[in-house]
Amino acid sequence: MAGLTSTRDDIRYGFAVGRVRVLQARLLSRSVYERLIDAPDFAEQLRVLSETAFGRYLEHAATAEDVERALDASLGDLYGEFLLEAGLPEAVVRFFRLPYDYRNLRAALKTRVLGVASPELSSLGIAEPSAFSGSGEGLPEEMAAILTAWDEAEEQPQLAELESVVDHALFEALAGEAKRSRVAFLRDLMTLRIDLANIRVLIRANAKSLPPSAVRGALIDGGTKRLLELAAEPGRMDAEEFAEAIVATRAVVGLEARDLLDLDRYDLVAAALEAGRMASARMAPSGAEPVLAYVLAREAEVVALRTVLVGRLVGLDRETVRERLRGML
Amino acid sequence: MNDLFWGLSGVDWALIGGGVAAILGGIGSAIGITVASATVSGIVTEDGEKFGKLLPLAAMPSTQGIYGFIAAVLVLIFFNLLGGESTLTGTQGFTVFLACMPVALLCMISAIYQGKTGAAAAGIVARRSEDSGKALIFPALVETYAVLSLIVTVLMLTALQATFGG
Repeated sequence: MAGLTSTRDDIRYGFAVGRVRVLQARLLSRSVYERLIDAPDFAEQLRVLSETAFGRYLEHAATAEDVERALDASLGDLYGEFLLEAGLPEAVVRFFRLPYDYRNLRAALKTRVLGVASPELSSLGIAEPSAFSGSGEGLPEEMAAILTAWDEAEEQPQLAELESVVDHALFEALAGEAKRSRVAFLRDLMTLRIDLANIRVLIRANAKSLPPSAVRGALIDGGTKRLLELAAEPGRMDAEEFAEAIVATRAVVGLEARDLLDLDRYDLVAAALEAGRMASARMAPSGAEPVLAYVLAREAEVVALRTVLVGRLVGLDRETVRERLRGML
Repeated sequence: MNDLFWGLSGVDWALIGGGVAAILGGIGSAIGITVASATVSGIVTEDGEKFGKLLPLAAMPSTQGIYGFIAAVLVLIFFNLLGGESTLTGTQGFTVFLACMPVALLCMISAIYQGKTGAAAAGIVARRSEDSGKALIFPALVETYAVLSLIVTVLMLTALQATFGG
């Protein structure tokens, strides 16, 4: 049965895998990023990028907003053309577009509830940006509920509370899509992401000696159950003990107790673990993994490019940009 | 001639053996070529110049279908099935059927795996055109076992022909 499924996937994703094998070689290399950082001005950066797939998108860019728009357009083509032609299940396409909906939801909520001016909403999501105004009629039920959750509230919520609610909803939605996609790699990736996010919550809870009820509320469902069981422990152990307890759950292979003693170090290790998962998916000879790993790599590429281009445009010095990029590459 | 084995005559069993060899070999080749071609098509979509170097990888699983066909033709010729003068008993026909199984089963399985190997090897060509020779080696290794199964079936059929006298 497994052999049949594997052969079916080989046929189903074969065409997309073939395209990915060529397109992967066109991803920006480290040396291109170095040239971009070292470029004396934006015009030189555009000249470097004119030799790449981003050239046509950035041709007429002059400001940070132009760059944002151009990079969004490149992602729009990735989702609109490549993903649709790749023959991936509907749930996989939704998996990649949902984060933009929740990013829009977060921005709309900040404006609606906290009165913070909202940036231009992204059109890369599934829902139309215009759906985030009013009572959210054009939005899925769960999103509309979050959008209007504080309409009648007497007390204004904290920004952190808003962020937490949106993050939880996003993780749940992504985990649901990953499950619906029936792609094992996506399911494992979501479990890893949820576990990493939960471990971060636990480390912070331990540092601040938060009560178990607050910790439980902050943890995301859908990850390893043994981690959730630690919700009652943060206040009872010191940092070293607690780090050992987290590692002992074996929720995330590759984590060591010393990685959990400092949040900055943990973030780097967590990013490396996720990158490692992508790298192994890229090396898969067939199936959905190489295709999904390529899309994730393209997304990471856009984030890195945005950091370099916009960073330099707004006047960040080379070393700061290089430092920010180091965590991404 | 009228001696039956599990309700079928010798000719029936021999025909089923040859037929199964041709059918399973053909199924394996069809799947293998589809698997390899899917990936090759994707690569050619992005880089049309690689078509020539990738074609052998997609075509390689086709040989198993030919091996099954050869086995089926040998059964027809060795045991006089074409002339309608076969004297195979039920038991003898069943042994002919069994002799066809190595090529039938191994060709089907090896063709599918050769297609998968070819698809993976196409990635080598996608990355470096100059390594197309190296990429051919991996699916060719899978071919070895299809060839061995054909040899085994041919030797068994030859031995049976000598024993039963056609």
